[in-house]
Amino acid sequence: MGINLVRVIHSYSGFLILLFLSSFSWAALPISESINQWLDTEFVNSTLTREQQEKELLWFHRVSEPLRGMSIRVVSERIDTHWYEANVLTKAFEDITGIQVIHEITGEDDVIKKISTQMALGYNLYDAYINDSDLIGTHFRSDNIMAISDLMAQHGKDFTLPTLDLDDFIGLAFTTGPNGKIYQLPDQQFANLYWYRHDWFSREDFQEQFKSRYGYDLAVPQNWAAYEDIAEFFTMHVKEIDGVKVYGHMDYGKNDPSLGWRFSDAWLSMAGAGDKGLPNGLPVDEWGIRVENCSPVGASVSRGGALNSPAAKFALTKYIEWLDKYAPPDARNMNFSESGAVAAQGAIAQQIFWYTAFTADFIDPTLPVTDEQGRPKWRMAPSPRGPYWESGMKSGYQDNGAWTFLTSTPVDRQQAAWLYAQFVVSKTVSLQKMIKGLTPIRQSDIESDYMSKAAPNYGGLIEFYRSSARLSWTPTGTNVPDYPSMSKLWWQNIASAVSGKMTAEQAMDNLAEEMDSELKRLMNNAADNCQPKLNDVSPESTWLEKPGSPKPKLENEKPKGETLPYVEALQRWEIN
Amino acid sequence: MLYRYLAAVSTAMILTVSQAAGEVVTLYTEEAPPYSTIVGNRIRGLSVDIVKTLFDRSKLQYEIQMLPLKRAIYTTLLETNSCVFPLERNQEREVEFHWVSPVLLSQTAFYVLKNSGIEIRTLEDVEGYIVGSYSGSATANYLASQGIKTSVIPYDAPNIRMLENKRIDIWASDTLVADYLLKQNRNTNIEKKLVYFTTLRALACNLEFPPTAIERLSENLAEMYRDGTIQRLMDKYQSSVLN
Repeated sequence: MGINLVRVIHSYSGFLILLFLSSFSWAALPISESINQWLDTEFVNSTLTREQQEKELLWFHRVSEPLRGMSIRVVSERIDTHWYEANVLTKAFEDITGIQVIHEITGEDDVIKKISTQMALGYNLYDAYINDSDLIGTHFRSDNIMAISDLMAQHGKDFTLPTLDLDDFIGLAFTTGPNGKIYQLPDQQFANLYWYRHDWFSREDFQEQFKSRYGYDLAVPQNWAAYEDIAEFFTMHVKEIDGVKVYGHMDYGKNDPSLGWRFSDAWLSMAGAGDKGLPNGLPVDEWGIRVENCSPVGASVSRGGALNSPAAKFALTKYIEWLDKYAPPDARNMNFSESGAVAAQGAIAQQIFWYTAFTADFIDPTLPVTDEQGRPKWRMAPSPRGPYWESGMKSGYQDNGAWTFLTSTPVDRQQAAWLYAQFVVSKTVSLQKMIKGLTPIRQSDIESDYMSKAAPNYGGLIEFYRSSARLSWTPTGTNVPDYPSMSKLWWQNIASAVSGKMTAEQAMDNLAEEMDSELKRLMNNAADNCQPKLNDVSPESTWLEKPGSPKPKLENEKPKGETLPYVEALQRWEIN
Repeated sequence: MLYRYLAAVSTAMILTVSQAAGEVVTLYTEEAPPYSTIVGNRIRGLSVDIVKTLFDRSKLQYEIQMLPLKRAIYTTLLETNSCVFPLERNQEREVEFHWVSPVLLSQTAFYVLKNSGIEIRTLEDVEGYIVGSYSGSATANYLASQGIKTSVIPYDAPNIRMLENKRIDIWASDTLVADYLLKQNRNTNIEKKLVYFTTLRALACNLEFPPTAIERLSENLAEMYRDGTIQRLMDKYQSSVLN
């Protein structure tokens, strides 16, 4: 009946039929038919064979038997990958297991507020969260988190997928604490990379004009100096292409929690404010926090940190200057979500801080940034580095949304949610999910034949994820002991600088002072589990004269611009 | 009664203690039983009881006024010594207020006419339908941001009639409010479908509100969760709605 039913339904036309299809359940079918329906119609791309897929889905059906009939609730942020999970994968999971999942989608800040609330009050708001691994420093210090390692060894043991293959996950290191425990299971990953209009950069007239004005080739910028020159070139000199006003830079500046991510994600490390050493810089990380023996000891320069160092102040100054001079006027009134699709509208030449989560939104064949064959006119490439950056440092940010369980959730609900978590990352599902959202989590999917063939359509995404460079694009690390309380300090202070209430210097000084106060509060509140131990205040010169971060102000913060052709720029991914 | 444009005032006098900025704090709320409603000449309800207890414990003087939600939000943005409750806290509103959160945990569901044939398994399933909500509700903004066609009216209660008259296909409403309104209307022709969203509802105060008072309120709210006060109040109102 299955395939015939689908054919019959498709043979009709009209609105009601579409509605029927969208909410139709195959749960009423015998399980083998239901599984076949989903494999025929949805999970058509997989690194598993059809037989292996069937076996995997039958396992989900079999082990879910004691949990059948339950309804559970999970929450995640608002990106394409999670919409696919919420609207499609929940239905497949329910049809196969009999467990209903309500997968709520909301703003990332709201996800953090909700997990913080459940941690603080012990109320079971959700049965699982897809929570960024930026909170790993919070989680491994907390008693409220049910580490995945513990879950798999305890009440999740009988519900752990034999073919889960943890070694296949590319982001597991980001969700592992210093104690070696895996706290979260990766669900999606994306990076922030440099994005540019390859077609515009390739135009001979622009290349000639640029070289004559700046003395070097118009190509992929390797440093902030070149990025700035190219931004100026398009906004101030090219001005219009085919009658449309164009801009050499895009960013966002609205007073909003997402303004904080723009900085805490990687901006200071891209400027070079922290220390060498992956994943986050040691002893000073990309938040400017110094750590000693796993304990944070200060964020301000006077305590050995770098949050108000010359490099950090330079980073904020340049962000504001470029936003004012080279971005579209509306950019300063936009947040992360609102700004995400702007470059796809065809008036932006380059964007230094571009999230690859938007890739799927940039390959629509109807967009002005794709050609007649639907291939991108744009490319993504390694991000240019600021003047304080040195080889061996973190190069950018990688978001790792990962399944997170709390001890306050009843055991049977954790088990049901654990099954759903594994389902949406299983090899039966993960390649198809990657195609929908382009947020890869499995090495096997990245190396798949499908992705080899599709790579030219994705503007460099697959090349990035196949290179070792992805190890230099990292999430917030374990030095941040309480992400929810500390992350809000970023946007509150950065917004003051963007609005002009404070200078960039004042904003970073204030931010560093508030960050130290927060570390002090945590020092007083917590047990001895890598908790903060603030250094005494010393003259800033004491720290600035020592090697490494915090680094003294450079005499020349704008060296000569450096660019590389696209292919050579990609090769840098392997070198670094 | 429910639809009247009404401003009522309920004032608590705590004469022996100091309070924020030395002034009476104006607390705005909306007509949304059982969270807040006018009984006789007094404002009562679950969120009112929680916030009253919170201010009493924090030794802050206050008065409660009832306004339409949109106006309550707007007034709080402008008036220094004011707060609005129980406001749905979300990322878009985060920067506009100082928050004491959560005073309530609430959920939003889709309601349809029985026998409408509308099946809703996920949010995507409501695409193509007209969903009713009300002005100032974060629900309407959330659905609209997903490209879902919404019909927004000043108050939530008339959405029952809108649904019965088929001027909307689906009604999106807070589950406790909807259950209360359906019971009051003795309506058995409307059924709850998917409970699709969970919200932290908060006391949202003007950005000039004293930070020390926010801190004190937050500490006392956490204590009200720890000592079971919030749960007792929620149980009381939930049982009165359901029975």
